[in-house]
Formats: sequence, C-alpha cells, structure tokens
Amino acid sequence: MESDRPKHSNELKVTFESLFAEYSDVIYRFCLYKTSDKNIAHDLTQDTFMRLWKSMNTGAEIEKPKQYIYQIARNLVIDYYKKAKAVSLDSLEEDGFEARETSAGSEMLSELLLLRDSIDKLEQDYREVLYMRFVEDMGVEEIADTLGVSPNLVSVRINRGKKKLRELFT
Amino acid sequence: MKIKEEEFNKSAEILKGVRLTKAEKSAMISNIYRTEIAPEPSPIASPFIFSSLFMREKVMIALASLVLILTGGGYAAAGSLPGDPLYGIKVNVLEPLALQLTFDETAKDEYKIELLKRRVAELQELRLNANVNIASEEESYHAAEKNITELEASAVYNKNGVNVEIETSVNTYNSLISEPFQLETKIMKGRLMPEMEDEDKDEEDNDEEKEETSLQKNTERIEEVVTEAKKSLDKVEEKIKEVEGTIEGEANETLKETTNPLTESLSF
Repeated sequence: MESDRPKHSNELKVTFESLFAEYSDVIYRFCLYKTSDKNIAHDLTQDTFMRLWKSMNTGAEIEKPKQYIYQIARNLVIDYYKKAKAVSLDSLEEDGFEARETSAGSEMLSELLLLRDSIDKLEQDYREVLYMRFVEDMGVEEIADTLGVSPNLVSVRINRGKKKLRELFT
Repeated sequence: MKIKEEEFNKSAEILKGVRLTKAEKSAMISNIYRTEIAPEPSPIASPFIFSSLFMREKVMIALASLVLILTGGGYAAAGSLPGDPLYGIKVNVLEPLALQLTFDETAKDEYKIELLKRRVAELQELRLNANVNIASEEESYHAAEKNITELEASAVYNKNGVNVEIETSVNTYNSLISEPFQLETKIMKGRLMPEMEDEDKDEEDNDEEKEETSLQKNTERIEEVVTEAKKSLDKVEEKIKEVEGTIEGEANETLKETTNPLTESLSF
C-alpha cells in the first residue's frame, strides 16, 4: 500500500476494500485455526479490519499491509485469550496460543483440531511458519515478509519443522 | 495422539477451503463503516523542557548503557552468548559504545576484527555447551554480519583485498554454523576491489610508459625495414627492366642479322 495517505475518503475506502477482499479469508482462517470457534473467528476478523480501517483513517503509514494485518489479528487472539482466561498469560507467552475446547462439533472443526494438535506439538518457532506453508500455501519470501524475519530463517524452520512433523506421524 | 500424514494433509486441505461468505463480508464491511472512529487523543505536552531530549534513541541507549555498567548488568551482558536475553545489549549497545569510545582509527579496526573473533568464540562456546539452536544461530549471524559490514567499510584489507585474520575468522565461523547462516564477505563474492596505493599506481604508469616507448621503437624499426624493402624492390624492378631492354635489343639485332642476308639474296 502506498505510504501517502489517500486524500479522499473514497480513495481510502477503495484501498481498504481491496485489502479486505485480499486478506479477509486469510485472517478468518487464521482466527478460526487459533480459536476453533466460528463466531469468535468471525468477530476477531471483523475487529482486525476495524483496527486497520481506524489506522488508515488516522493517517498511519502501512508499508507492509499483510504483515500489519496479521499482527493485528495475532494481538487480538492474545487479547481474546487473556479475557477468556482460558489459559494463563505466562503459558501464552511461553508456548504461543493454546486454543480452548471448541463449542461447535462440525466435521470441519474436528479436522481443524487434528491439524492444530499436530502443529502445536512442535516448538513455537515452527508453528506459524508451518501453518502459513501448509494452509496458506505461502512461499518462503512471503512468510518471511509477513513474519518480519529473514528468508533463510524461514527455510530452516520449514525444513526442520517438516522433519519434526514427520516424526509425529504414525 | 499420533495421526497419519494423509489425515494431516486432509485437514490442511479442509482448512484451506474455509472462507467467509459474501453476505458475511458485506455485513462486516457495513459494520466497520458504521462504527464511528473516535479521534486519537492529542498527546499532552510534557511540562519538562528536556523530555524530548530524553526520548531520543541515542540518549536512551547511552543512559541504558550507563545504568547497565553501573549496576553490573553490563558485566553480565558482556559475558552473554547468542540466545541469551542480554546478548542484544552486548552486540547492539556495549560493543558499539566501546567502538565509539575508541578514537584511534587503527585501534578501531583492530577492535572490529576482535569482535569478529569474539563471534567465533561465542559459537565455539555454544557448541561446547550443546546449546546451538536456530534462534542462537540467527542472533549470532546478525551480529557477525554487522561486524563484517563494518570491517568491509574500513581499510583493513591489503591491495589484493585480503585480510588473513578476517578470512580465517570467517572460515572458522562458517565451519561452526549451519549453512543458511554462513557469512559471505565481499571478497568471497568477488566484489571487493581495493583501491591501489599511489606508489602502485606510479609503478603501473611507468610500466605503461615503458611499454609505449618500446612499442613506438618497434613501429619505427618496422617502418625502416619496410622502406628499405621498398627500395630494394624498386632496384629489382629497375634491374628487371634493364634486363628486359637488353634482351629486346639483342633479339632485334639477331633478327636484323638473320633477315638482312635473306632480303639481299631475294632482291638479286
């Protein structure tokens, strides 16, 4: 996204809506993966874009929108768990996001739990990288850009994470 | 609970297909636009005149360093290894500070090389403690890369772009770290072209002059030889013409001598 703030509110809306169209599903999947609850994922996605819209209106310069939107969503998931008190803050900080039990019992959510249980058995360093690789089909450069780390590090994490994941399979 | 790889892939595929419906998206957009955006509260000016000064990054770093040194935290940070919480302070605060406090340029260069050697020693210690992981390797790599960049900006390479101490340290470092984190110096990439010393330049200029004089002499000599050859060729041509003339004259004489008696006998 261009760094200059669009002067006209219509321009701002066009930019915002293009970002929404591009990333709303991605963020929804991410929130669903983290919370295993469709309603909460829906709310968190809306809140994410609400914050983005607010930032854009206050003239914030968003150089890397994808990284920025992911970061908002991540923060909102943490806030959600803090409020829900499902897990302790210490555990969140040390182990990443531990999702609470799902209230919905659809097949999709049980598959989702299966996936997340496998990935969550790995160290924190590998979880998001593998999620982005396997679920979002993102490339190394894209993951590096989104997480704000070097492509080298992402490559190493993907390879080692895949190896560790294979050890988990029967 | 162990799962099969196929189950894992299936789950990933299912999640990939999860999307918001058009209706959900439209509702979200409407909700977002309907929500009034409260103006950001304007920052309250500090009553302290120097507050902005204290907020400046460099001042903050210097203050933090001072506090660290005074409280012994600096000592703890100085002994930290990649992956330790205080390592960032060591490589981003203490070492640059020490470099800034070194005023002699030669001493500065020596210190920069010393820092690179320190990165190697840290890796060796990590390996000794079996404490090498991605995070520590990455932290070490960033610190070492920074050292290399600073070294390459200094005049610490000889005229061939080599500094044995640096190259040895880099090679040792690379042997201790995973491949993605191995260092690449400009000389390794073939980009470091050190500027020649003036003396070398003069020598090269002299060589060029000598070469030029020699070339000129050779050209002159060749021109002389060509001229001489031309002269010889002219002489040969003259001789040929002379011989041709002689042969023609003699042939005419012989012809006359043969035809005259014949004419006389025919006329009676």
